[in-house]
Amino acid sequence: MNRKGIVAILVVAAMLVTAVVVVVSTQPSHTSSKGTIIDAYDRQVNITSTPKKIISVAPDITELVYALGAGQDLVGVTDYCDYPHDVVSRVENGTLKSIGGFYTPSAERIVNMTPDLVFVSAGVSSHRALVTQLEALDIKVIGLYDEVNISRVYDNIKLMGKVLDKQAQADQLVNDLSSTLSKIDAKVSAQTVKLRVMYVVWLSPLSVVGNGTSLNEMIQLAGGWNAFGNMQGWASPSLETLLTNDPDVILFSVMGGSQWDAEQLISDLSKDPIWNGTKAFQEGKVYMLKSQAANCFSRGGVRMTEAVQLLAEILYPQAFSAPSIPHSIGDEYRDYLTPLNALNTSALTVEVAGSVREVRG
Amino acid sequence: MPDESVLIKIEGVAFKYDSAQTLDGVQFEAERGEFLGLIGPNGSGKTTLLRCINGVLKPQLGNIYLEGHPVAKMKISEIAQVCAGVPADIPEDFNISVEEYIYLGRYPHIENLWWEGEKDEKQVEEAIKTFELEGLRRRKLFEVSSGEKERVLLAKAVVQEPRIMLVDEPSAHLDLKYKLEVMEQLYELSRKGITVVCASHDINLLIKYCDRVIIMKKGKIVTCGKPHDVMTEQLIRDVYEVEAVVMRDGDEIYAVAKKPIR
Amino acid sequence: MMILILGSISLLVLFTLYLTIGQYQLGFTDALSALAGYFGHLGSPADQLNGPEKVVGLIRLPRALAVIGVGIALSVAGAIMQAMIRNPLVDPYITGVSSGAALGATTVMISGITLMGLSAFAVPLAAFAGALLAFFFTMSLAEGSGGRSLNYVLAGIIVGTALSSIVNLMISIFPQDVHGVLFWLFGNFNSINWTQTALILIPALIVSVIALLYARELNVILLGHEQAYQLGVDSRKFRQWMMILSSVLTAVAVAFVGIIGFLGLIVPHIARIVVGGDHRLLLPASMIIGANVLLAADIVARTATTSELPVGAIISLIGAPFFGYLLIRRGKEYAG
Repeated sequence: MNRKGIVAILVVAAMLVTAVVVVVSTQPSHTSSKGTIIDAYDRQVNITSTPKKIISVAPDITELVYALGAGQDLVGVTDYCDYPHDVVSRVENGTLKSIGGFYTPSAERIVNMTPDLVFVSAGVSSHRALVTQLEALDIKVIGLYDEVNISRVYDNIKLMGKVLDKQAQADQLVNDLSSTLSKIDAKVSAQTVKLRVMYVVWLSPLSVVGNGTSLNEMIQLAGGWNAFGNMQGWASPSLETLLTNDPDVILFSVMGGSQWDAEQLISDLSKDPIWNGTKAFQEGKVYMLKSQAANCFSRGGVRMTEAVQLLAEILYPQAFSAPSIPHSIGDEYRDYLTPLNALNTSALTVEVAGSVREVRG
Repeated sequence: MPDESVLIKIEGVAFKYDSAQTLDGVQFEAERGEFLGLIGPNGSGKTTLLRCINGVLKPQLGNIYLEGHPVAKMKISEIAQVCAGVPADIPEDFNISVEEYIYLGRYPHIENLWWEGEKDEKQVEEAIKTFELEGLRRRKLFEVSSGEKERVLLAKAVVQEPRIMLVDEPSAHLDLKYKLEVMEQLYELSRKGITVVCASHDINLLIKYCDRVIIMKKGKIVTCGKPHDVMTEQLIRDVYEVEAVVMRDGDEIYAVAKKPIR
Repeated sequence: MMILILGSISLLVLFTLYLTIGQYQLGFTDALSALAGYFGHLGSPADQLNGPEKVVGLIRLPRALAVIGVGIALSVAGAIMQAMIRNPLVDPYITGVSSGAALGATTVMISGITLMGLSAFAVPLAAFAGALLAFFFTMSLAEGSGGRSLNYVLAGIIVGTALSSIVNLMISIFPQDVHGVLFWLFGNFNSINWTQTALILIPALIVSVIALLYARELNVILLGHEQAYQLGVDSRKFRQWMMILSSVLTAVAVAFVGIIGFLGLIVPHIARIVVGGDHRLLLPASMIIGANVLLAADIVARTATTSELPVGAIISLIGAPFFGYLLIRRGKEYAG
């Protein structure tokens, strides 16, 4: 047998098989029917009955589930889900199980929990492959939108509301959030001078939040002006730019484990001539966000409005009758959120507020 | 009509390497079973000529025919079945046994897809016997002495069942006994019908065994003929720029260098 | 010969172990009956399967086969490259293939491109295309500068470095996507499904078989260009062909699972120490050993902690000391 012939046959066979596999696997297997939902990946998902066993693959998704009042239906969360406090206590007593990390959720664990529905985030690239895997396992998955701005947050609330048959709660929640934002806006838009805000995510290299991020929008909603809004995404300005842009207020954000000592850091930086030259340091408007305070900024989602309010109170304390906000804020941040007049008692505040008491204690 | 007895025919071959004219107007014929010696000073083009004969290098001018077929039109596998080369040495880091190395020489002839066949085994066994390599079968190549290595190289070339063998400096690093031994082997091969073209710096050794000798200088053939006829002191003076004495002793002929010409 | 038998047995053992161990608790007999149950239900929709059958049949089985496929692909690719370049430090990524794949994957992950119905394939497709593109650049550069082994090495370094730096630039400009990209770069089998397994295993096996058909030539090549030519092998043309095969194998491996380092480097060496340098033995031995090593490593990666570990790091932990042991014991025979 001619060797070249064998090789040619094999090569053609390989290409044919590959083509066939790709074509077969991309056949749409869902047909439109009454309970069809279109998710953030543009997939059609058939929801025939209300999901009662839910898995969340991201911390902000977990918070959203609780905000809609479906927290007790959660059976699985990631290792990083820690809010509201009920999540933590349920994980401790075993009624809520972990499915692994944020980027490496374990499909096996998910199967073990026999969920009715799994929520993933289209903003996390590794979740796309998880979707395919779960589909093959015949587990329903809904992808939520990447929350780049507040309107996407509302989209997610409504999408989840539709899926969990909690549309009334969803609409209520959206109303509450947007009304909170309007109230904040009412107070801050009266300010004649917009303060320049710098939000630092990392110190070396110096990384700040620039244009096009959800945090940028939050700064604006709080009536501030992003001192680095001329840069895109997570930007790394030079120290010169720091002096040029001269922020009025600086927020340092600490996420996850690394606990900078706030006092130590601020005192070290205040000895640095460049940092010292900024208005923020000169006027002592430097703040450090830790644990849940940092989370409500970085995760966004339903706690976006709390972050906006906190920031607004830091920027314009005169507009809010708020207690003086300390320079290091952590889990107790909600203590500093003054009630804005005529706020509805919604599932959000009841559920979340209830857990805050436990956090404080 | 290709002449059956003419194994190699070289006409008007010129080869240029960068700007150096390494071969110029080379022309000769070699017959079946002829032992052809190739001598000349460094840079005369001996190695280049050998490389042109088996197609490794392609001359810009002229034609080379093997068994009547033009090398330029032959497939590399076809050339390999006619012509085998015996290199001056083997790669140092080659971690292979003597037996495996010899089997490599069967490559142009192996018919099976995977392992070697009966024919191949027969050839290799014969070669091992001829060159007395029985005890060295499993030894690694780099563990074999110089003299033994030469026999191994010849064995590998022989199993290729060539009609032409091109040998480049076969005895450069061998002591006296093995130098002679190699030449004896090559001579025996030529008597068996293989055309051997052998390039060497060792003039005396070569002219002792070869049927005809080709002397080259600066890419041109100076002369070609039987050693007795062509080896003269004048020739050595012209080609090597060396004063020598050429002595004849019956059938034998020797050239002994006296001193270089300034 | 022995190694192939031993290796196959060990592979079978590891395979069974693979199906049994995992985050989802299963006993040995449970795993086997789940496997049988899965095959019994082939053809019917997935909701007919129970939990263990799903885990074994839809998660672990395809993953095990994908691991074997990648193990085979990278080991054969590495063996080929080591024969081509004749340097013991060579691995299959030397032609810049990994940087090309990284660039493709990173571009898609950052820009969020989805290919309409093919969004599940966006990243692997981009990675595969990037890998082959990088190889194409390397080959053009190498052939244009002489086509010798050294040219390939240098061209690969040039292309690889250039593409890597583009990846780094992209990561620094878009650091919010860093996690996803880095995770992909470390290499993992986390979200393998049957489609991906088919797309890995079938090409890996077919191209490996093609490489096996040329095992004899790989031996002849070791003689050097001139002597190989005299035996009838045009080493330059052959090198091009073999490089293409090796790059396809590497691209297939990298496209779906990211960059698993070290395997393609050490497995051929281990195989060489065990069976010697004859490629008719070396290639099959590399395949078996590679499959074994990667399977063992992935078992550890999956089960050592609650979060998955990068399998490439596990390989280094397992492979390096074992390789060192072999080197010490049989180092004298092993001259490169």
